[in-house]
Amino acid sequence: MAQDDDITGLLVALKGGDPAARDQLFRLIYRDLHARAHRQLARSRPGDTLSTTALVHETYLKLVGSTHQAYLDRGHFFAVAARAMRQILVDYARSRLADKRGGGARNSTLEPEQLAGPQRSEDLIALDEALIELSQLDERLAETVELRYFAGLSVEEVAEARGVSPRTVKRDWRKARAFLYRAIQGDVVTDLDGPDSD
Amino acid sequence: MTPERWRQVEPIFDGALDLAGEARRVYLDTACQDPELRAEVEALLTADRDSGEFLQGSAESFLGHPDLEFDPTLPDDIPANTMIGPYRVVRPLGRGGMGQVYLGERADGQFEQVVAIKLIRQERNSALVHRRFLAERQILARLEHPNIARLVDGGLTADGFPWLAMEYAEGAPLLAWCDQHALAPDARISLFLRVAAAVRYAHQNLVVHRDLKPSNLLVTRDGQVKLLDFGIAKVLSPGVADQTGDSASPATETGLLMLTPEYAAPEQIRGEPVTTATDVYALGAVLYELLTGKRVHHFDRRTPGEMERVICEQDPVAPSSTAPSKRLRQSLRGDLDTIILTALQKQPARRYSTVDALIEDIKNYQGGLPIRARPAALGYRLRKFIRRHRVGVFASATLAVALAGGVAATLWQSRVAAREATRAQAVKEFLMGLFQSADPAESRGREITARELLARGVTKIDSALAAQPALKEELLSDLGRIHRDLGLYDPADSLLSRAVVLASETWGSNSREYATRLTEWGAISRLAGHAARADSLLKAALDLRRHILGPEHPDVATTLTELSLAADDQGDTPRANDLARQAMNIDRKYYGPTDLHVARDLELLARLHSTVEAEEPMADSAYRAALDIYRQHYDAGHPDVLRVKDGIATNLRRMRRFQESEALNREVLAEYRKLHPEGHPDVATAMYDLSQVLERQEKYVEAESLLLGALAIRRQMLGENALPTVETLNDLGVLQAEKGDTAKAEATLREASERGQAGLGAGHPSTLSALGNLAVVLTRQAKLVEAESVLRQVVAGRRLRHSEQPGLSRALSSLGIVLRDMKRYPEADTAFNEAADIARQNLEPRRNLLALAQGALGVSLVRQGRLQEAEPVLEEAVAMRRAYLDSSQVARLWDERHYGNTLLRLRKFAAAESVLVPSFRNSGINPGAIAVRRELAILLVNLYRDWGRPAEARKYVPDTLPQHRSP
Repeated sequence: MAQDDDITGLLVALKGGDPAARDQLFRLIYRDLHARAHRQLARSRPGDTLSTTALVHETYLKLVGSTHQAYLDRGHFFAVAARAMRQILVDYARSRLADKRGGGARNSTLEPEQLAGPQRSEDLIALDEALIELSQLDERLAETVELRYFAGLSVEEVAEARGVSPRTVKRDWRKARAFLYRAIQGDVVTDLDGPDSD
Repeated sequence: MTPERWRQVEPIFDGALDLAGEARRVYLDTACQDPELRAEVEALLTADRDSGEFLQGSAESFLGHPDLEFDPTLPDDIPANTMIGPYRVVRPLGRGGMGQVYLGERADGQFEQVVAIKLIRQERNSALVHRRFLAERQILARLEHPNIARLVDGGLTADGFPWLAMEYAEGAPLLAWCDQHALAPDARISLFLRVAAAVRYAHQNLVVHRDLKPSNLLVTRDGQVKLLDFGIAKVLSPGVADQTGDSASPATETGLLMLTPEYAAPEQIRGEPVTTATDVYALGAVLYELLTGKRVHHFDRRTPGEMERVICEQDPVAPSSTAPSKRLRQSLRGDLDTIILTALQKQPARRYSTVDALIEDIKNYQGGLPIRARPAALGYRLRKFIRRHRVGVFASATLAVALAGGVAATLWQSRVAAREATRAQAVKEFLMGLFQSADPAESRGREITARELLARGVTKIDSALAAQPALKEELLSDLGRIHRDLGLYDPADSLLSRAVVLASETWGSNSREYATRLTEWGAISRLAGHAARADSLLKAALDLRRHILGPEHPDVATTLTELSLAADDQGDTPRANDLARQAMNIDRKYYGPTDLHVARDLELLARLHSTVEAEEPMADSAYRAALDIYRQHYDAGHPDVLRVKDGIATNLRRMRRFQESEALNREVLAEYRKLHPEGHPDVATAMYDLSQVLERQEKYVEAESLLLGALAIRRQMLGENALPTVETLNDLGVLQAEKGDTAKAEATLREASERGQAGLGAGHPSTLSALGNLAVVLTRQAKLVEAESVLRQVVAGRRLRHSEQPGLSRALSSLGIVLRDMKRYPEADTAFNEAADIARQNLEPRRNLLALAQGALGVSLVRQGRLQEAEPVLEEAVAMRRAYLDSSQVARLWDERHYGNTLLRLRKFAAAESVLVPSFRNSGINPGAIAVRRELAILLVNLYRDWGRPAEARKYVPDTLPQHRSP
């Protein structure tokens, strides 16, 4: 259908700064990513994992496709795709949490030694909330996290996508990580002190 | 934290990050006067220190089943009789590092074939891996050599695991066979030469084995050597770097695990590029073991560190000093030692530069001639020399490797890599230039649109890339394709024409590149409506590709497919059919009968058949064959599967098998809804198709609600002015008009026309189609002046494209009707005659269009009182209507009414009666035929009155009353 044809135009429009193009692109990517994740989850068995990086790249291949268009604007595509991936993961985490508990109650106990990445639904939601806070303070740092963590881009790829030097990316990444780590830990403390931890 | 606060905290935090200990303390003392501010910064610095592995890696493993540890052991063996692709599993043959191997046999009864199936339990679910897998598979499938076990087929299982089917070779492992038959060294060497010759053949075809070892070498019962698993290592571990430059990642753990360390070359252990020299090393190791019975290396401990040390650093013991017998030691000493140790050099550049050179040296030895390799002593001196002149020697060694015969591949690969890098850089600069040159005065503050940027690219490409014709040629083609994708066919056409000229200047008119551009230009010419030119371009491209690549190359099939589409556009469906069939035969042979390429060819063939009435059953079987293939590769919910089912349903609709079509459409819609519960363009497509079949069954209410649903999704997801939105509006308008909601239909069709003009352009076929339908609705309401001007626009638009001939015919008939109703008969009749001529010109005459033109012309002639001329014209119209329309359909009834009226006025009463009576009877079963039924009744009353049979006339009087409703 026309969605494949439109992508190129949308990307160029996005680069031209068209906010409507971004929304439309987000919807397209979200749906494609979501369908992919959904299909693979349906097919997965216990022990399987899904590679979010692979999903994002698959979507890129599907929507942007052949290499001749690839130079058009990978960066903008991945920025939008990373946001979509984040949204999907968070939606999924929330629904899984709801399945388990029948509600959104949080009972998070993070152990700092094991913080290789949020492995549990609660942690991902906490990360998402911290990211929302960060994006209100510093959009650039939040976007760097999305590209690195949710789209799985390397430092060099993020640099290319954002049009900054790899050094800047590393710096942003370090600051963002510190901010998020602190925010999530702060959360844990509040949670433990709070009356709602059952 | 507030944004204001963050703006204070962030720079101090940033500044402190690079400082440590005392320096950091002093800095913070000076920077933070406010203790709260300092506490914030300190907290962030603590977090930075403690964050450790937090968020390192990526969200990678988040989705899935978090409660279970990943289990790296392989699942149980697949039971016998399980299907993998078209093969039935007979029994397991064994398991390797990456998956299991099964004995399989072809199960579809097409022909008997026993294969070894490798099922790969790794890396599924990644499109990149799959793409590489498929690409590699194609390369491997090219290897056809009596000593290489052929790759027969490959694909993905329903679970998404890659599998490969190899020719199944029964035999004994090389070493065991030699020992069993107590082969003398000379005979062993001869056998080895056959192995080496097979490897040389593969290298000439740009395939490196990567995992040569005795267990991959079989001797069959009739004494033939068979090499197994050629190139499979690369397919299985795409992460391993090679010189194609497409993967920079070092050898992964998996990659290392896969290797057999006794035969692995140092560069494989180090994760350096694998080349043909890697196979030279492995051949040396095999020859070593074949002659001495011992392996090159022994590992005290099989730890990665130990193995790496031994393989990369420890020089092997000379074969002659490790051979078991004195006689053997003597025969190995000297030349054979030198040959084997040269092949086993640590540095790839110091081995034989090609397998051919190795073979030649062994033959020199066999013939008693001096060998070319020099003993290690010289190597030692060389090493010293290299240390002193590192750079220069490195360069010449590389050059020597590059130039040597079979390693043309290396040169080719590095040239490709270099070209890609240069290209990427130049493209980037070119694009940056486009944005930088945006002149604020020119754009006056508004956003620059994609099309403006493209236009700028087109004008700049000459000045920017004058010195790089090869790149310019590629970019012209890229820009052409972008224009094409945006539907801007004319600029795309001219860009491709320039690319073609440049390609012939740059690469020569006998080059692959030229043939590629010709194909591209031909394809775009077709879209731009220059069908004849497309045809001749594609024919030239076809000849050239056949000449350069041979008649069976898949690129030839690509051109054939385009040519088929061009033939179809020119209305030459039989030829289109033949061309598509040729393309399919090539793909079948090249990719195998169950490959996805073949499925796509079948789909095209099916589509072509489905446009010819008599061939609809053939379309049906072609579609179903395509579906079979897709189902072997994909599950039932896969988009390709659903698309083909949709094609089958549409074809069934054409065959007027409405109930089957409806059932299938409902099935497809349900699958899409399952896939996209929250709406998706594909859901809209399925709703649309279902609505079409419902409409044909006159289930208007459900049809309309489906169209409205499809419209809502398309508006939201694809845009208000997108092509599918416009098309849905158009169809909705038509449906409303058919239901009799003329005012609603007019509004809907107006919107369709306006959106089409805004989003697609005034000349787009879909815009024209909406305008044409709008004109019909206007005509029905006697808004003739506006209808005429709309139709003039449609006719002008349709004239521009050859492929719009049927639309032109229809528009001319519509225009004629308007003119006729305005009593401008001569103009009207000219339009009708042209419409009829066009309909007749098509090789497959469009009966409906001809009937439309003839029927309208007949009415015009009747109104002008030219009854004698009208009679045969209307007779032809009725004959055609009867050939393809049911007896109760309104268009047919109207033409019969006009024909009967003419006969009556010519006083041919009996003939008029034989037309009008059955027609009136048939009109009773169609509730949509009220108006024409009344007209028929009036005519019948007149007929019998004039004929002098008043009793019969009276029977029809009740049906002439305007308020009458048929039961």
